[in-house]
Amino acid sequence: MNGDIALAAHGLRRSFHQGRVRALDGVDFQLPAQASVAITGASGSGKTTLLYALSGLLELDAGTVSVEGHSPTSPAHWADLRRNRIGLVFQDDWLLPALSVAQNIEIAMHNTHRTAAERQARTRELLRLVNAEAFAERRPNELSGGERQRVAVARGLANAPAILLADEPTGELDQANSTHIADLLFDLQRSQGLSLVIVTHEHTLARRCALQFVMQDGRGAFDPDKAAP
Amino acid sequence: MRLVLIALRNLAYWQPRNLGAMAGILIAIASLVALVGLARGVQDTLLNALDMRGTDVLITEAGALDLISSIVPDSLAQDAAQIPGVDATAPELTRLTTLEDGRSVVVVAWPVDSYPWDSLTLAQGRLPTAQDAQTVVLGQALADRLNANIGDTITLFHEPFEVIGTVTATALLSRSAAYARIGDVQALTFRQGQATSINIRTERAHRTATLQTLRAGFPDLSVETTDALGDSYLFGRIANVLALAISTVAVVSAVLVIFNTMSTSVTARRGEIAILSAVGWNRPHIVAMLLIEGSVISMIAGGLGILAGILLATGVAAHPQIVGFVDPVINAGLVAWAFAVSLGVGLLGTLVPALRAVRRPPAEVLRGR
Repeated sequence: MNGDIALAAHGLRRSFHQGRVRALDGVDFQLPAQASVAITGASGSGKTTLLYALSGLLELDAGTVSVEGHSPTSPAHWADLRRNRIGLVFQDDWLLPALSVAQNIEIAMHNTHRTAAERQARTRELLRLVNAEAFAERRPNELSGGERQRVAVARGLANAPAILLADEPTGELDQANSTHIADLLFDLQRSQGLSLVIVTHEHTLARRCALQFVMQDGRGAFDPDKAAP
Repeated sequence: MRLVLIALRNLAYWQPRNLGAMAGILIAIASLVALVGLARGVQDTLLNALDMRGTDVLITEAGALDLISSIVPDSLAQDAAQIPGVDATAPELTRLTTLEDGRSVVVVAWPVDSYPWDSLTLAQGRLPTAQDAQTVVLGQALADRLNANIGDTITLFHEPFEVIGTVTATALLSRSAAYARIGDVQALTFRQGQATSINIRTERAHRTATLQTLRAGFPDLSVETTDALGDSYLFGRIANVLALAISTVAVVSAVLVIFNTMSTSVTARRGEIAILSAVGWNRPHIVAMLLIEGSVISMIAGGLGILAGILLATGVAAHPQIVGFVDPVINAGLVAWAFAVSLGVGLLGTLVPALRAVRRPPAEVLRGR
């Protein structure tokens, strides 16, 4: 395992619509351990596609991704990494409507080494962390956008991942909630030593990251004005 | 949270969609049970009536389409009685006629004191004697239907018949028929000296040999055991083919409906499937959760469908135009088969779209919201 690099990608290529749209056109990327990187760029530049590629949610035309030195080769291997090492937060919270807030967090711990009691204890811990104890038993449709996104962050952290990938985590929120979620993410990054990747349009949020990776027309490079990894 | 609990919570939450899926399966299984039960019942009802009579062999016109259209001389009964191994014989004239209320009724006529009368159990009144003229004994179901009592007069073949008794029987057709002296019916239907069949009761020990002797003695006629009767008549064969065709159509319809219903249900939840994959669920766990949901839906809908099918078949059999002619045959075998179809196809109908859904890269779904 390479202890300094949490996530590395080399030569990522992915096109859509029979090759007419090149979402990723030979992207190289590195996430230093415990660092924070903002992936920025215009709409359609390939930011989210890169994030999905880094999390194994997308089939690539070419290229390799390694997580803490391991290169997953199968969907099962990727699922194992997402369950144990990589947490995900989406722009849309994607909470399961049939389950309560607490159950939406606990569901991410399904099929892990944790016992039922441990899962429940961890859920309570996460609810406290994102200040969601008050509505733990409510359904997602009873929550505000900010509350739902806090729950989504808690779900992303359920298995104490080393890497957190967040796709426009504040994109659907008002200013107050946006600031609150951003504070939460950076507090966690510092306190828990997370390696953090945030896809964002927001300059304010991007500036809070140690590094910035700028995407344009499917290609990307680290912003030289910020320290290179 | 256990997988089963998650599946049950999903089922409870998605009630409207699941109720739609259940309705589709319920209708398919109800149709299957009702159609097959009725198709089987058409044939079994006739055979049960003959079996109850104690008749082992029936002589009818060769090539006749069915029992009622057969014509043979009634004197054959006396000829057959001379064959070694024959215990008793009785000519039978069966006619289908219309009552005053417009409903059809089967009228079965035998000579007085012939053995088929012994198969009927008197509930009230008496059986016909040689001194009677235009008297009739009603099956209990028919008597109830007509609200007829001893001493009442009903019209058969446009002539008045006095009700002198009511009888019970295990076979539906026997409970729903009217029984008269053969002479009366021959006269009123212009079939003097004719019968539709000759009932023969054989000595049990010599049944096979007696059948062969009867066939040799009446080479130009159909001589069949009652067990084989269903297959020997064209209508019996048609009933068999129809039962098979209806079963096949009903099963295929059920399979298509259940498959489509479950497939739609799973496809509608591809976002949920994608997010489970995104938080690290393995494909087998996602498929297992969906299969649990599919099996619960299939079992509940299958069970209710079977009950609905029984009610439907019973309702159809009770329709005024066919009441007394068909007793639906819905036995444990058919129930188990229908339940297995529901569960099996429900699971298969869930498995195929579930496998398709988990193979789809989650990004395709999560980005497309």
